[in-house]
Amino acid sequence: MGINWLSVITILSVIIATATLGILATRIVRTTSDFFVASRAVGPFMNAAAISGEYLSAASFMGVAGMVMKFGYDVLWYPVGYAAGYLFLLLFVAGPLRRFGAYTVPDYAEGRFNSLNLRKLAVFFVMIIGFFYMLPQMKGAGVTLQTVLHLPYWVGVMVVGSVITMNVVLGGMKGITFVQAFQFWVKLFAIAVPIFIMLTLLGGYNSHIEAGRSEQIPRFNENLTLDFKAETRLRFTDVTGFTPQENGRVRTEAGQEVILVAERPVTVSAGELTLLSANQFYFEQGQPVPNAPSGQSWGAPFGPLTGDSKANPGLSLLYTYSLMIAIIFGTAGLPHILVRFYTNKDGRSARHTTLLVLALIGIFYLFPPVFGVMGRIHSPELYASGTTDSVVLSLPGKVGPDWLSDVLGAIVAAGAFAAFMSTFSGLLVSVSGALAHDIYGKILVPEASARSKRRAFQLAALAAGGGAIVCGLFVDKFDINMLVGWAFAIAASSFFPLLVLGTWWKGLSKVGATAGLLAGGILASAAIVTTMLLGETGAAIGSGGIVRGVGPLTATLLAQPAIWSVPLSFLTMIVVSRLTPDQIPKEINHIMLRLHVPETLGLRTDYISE
Amino acid sequence: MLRNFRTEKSNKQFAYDQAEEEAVLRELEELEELDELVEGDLPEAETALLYYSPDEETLQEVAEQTNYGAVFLDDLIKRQRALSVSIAVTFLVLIFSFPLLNFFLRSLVAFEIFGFEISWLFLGILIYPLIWALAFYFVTTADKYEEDFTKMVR
Repeated sequence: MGINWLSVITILSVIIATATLGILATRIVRTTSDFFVASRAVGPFMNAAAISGEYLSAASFMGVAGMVMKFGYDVLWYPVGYAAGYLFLLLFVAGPLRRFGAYTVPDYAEGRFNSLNLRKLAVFFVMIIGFFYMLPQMKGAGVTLQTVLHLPYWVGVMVVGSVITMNVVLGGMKGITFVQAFQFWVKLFAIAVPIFIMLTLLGGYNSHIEAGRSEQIPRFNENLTLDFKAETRLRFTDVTGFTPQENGRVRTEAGQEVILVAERPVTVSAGELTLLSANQFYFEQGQPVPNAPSGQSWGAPFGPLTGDSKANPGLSLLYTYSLMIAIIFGTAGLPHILVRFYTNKDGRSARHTTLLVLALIGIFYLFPPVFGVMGRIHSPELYASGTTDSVVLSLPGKVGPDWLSDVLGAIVAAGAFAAFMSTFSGLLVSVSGALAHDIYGKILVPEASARSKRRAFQLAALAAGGGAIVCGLFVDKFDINMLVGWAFAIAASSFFPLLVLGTWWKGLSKVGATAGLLAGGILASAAIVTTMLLGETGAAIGSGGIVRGVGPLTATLLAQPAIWSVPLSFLTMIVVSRLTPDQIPKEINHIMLRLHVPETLGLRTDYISE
Repeated sequence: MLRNFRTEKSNKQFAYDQAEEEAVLRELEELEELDELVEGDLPEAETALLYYSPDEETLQEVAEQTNYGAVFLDDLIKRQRALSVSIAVTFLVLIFSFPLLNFFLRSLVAFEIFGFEISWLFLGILIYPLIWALAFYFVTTADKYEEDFTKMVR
């Protein structure tokens, strides 16, 4: 496999255009307010493109397609939830949050409840969610450079990490508003154009789904030699022949060790093998692909994503609901997305912006599943190598004439780059904003000048960006969508109830809000960390791993906690607030006025005016 | 309720029924009690800000959260909340019943149109226009509610 030099050119173009736009924007950035929220003077269309650009991360661009290929139908809930979340953001959060006129969610927490402690708690959750969300972006960067340019994983992490960090340090929020909007269009173009061309050449969406569903197990389309690391597991669903290229050993499901001899063909029956040393296996065209789900379970609801649906159909249904809740409500509680709403002119334009966002991302989300479906037919070897995450990047190589493959490959590579670059910069602004604005400016040094806050923001961005790069080097074995899905579950159990009840129910008290944040947010995080550390990946629900030694019900509830943690958070907030009515801020009516009265009446200015 | 207040102000007619009137009066009393608490607590700078257009009586009432003003605002919040909740419930009932359909009536949703099973067609494509329609309805209606409120208060 040679290097597609066209991809190098398009990737460099995206990096250079990003840096240039960022630097150009720096010249316009004048005030501290510009720096944090672009002076709240960005038009709805530009803002909608920027929000969408920021939202469509490596998980949307690469992860959804990869998971649709790997798990099939059930994964459609991911893009649906990613989009439907904005409906809830629109219904309950967008307008009032903008009217309240604060920079960050912690600003909201303090302003609504008149409590510095709630601000601190909110900052803590901004950090947790930001952390879970930044790492998969770093992984996306590493994988892309690995797939496209055959560079080591760490190169992509370092290059993307440093370019974005510099961009945020120099330009702040305004810098990235233009860049984010630009990157949305790059992503939409990069995913839509190759799909239209591939569908024209290779047959329709529907015929691909039918093919994917009807064939029992995908078979190799060509003779291939695949590299496997030590400890790789290969699940064979049918009698399969292959030729190891090196001497080595494998362990069967029964725990028996078998010796492989280089160049001597092997035939295995259904079952799982674990490689005890790195090896290369040569597969002939027509052999069944290991690790691929059967067409039956792939094409129908309650497939492998949702657990062992044959043994426990009820748990598959439970998992589906839990996933839906996490993603839909999590979207409406993502701090790096919420911060974008402050850049709207007023509450009304915040709503209009959200409507436009729904249109833009809805169109986008039609495409990634198509990639996944086509991948099952045309790139089945990705199942065996465990790299379905890269299907978006490798599928164009199957289209036909080399020049066309190169052109399409270069386009999607640019789109993938835009995806993790834009989301990473948004997260960086959000986390640095929390550090500089909330921790430094509000908690540590309340008398800090605008100038020193700006300096603090730049230092925080350098520190957070550096930290993400370092941590990003160690996450290459985790699934892209896994960490992102968990960030959604935590956001759904913490910020979403806080924002909805705080905005629409006068009775939410300071103590109630704190108790709900702690109960929902901390317990959801604990469940997730438990699954992350103790979970046995491979035998995975939603590829997040499954905890052994507890019942299947408990394991499912730990793997995707939203179904209990979100109601728990809401209930705790309501019950505790009822018990502590004296902890409702005295000026609650004034706060409600600030949240809900149209700006046209000219009753009040923003929470923070600089 | 909002409409009733407009009638009251313009025509001096009381179009609402007895129960509703009592509810409104109770609410007014409660709010006035709160006002007494609130007024002492407002920071000076913000109080000044709130008297931005002192010549407009109702506007000032909203700002001061007194009398009709507070009820107007409460009413706006209630209408907006009812709108949001009803759209949210519609949407949730729809998509939360879908896994149940997949679970219990698989043969129904496995029916094929243009080679797509209904379950795939709905989740992969048709759900997006549905979300757009609900969002569009919300945005236009919420805008209208706010215009009503602004007109009435001015």
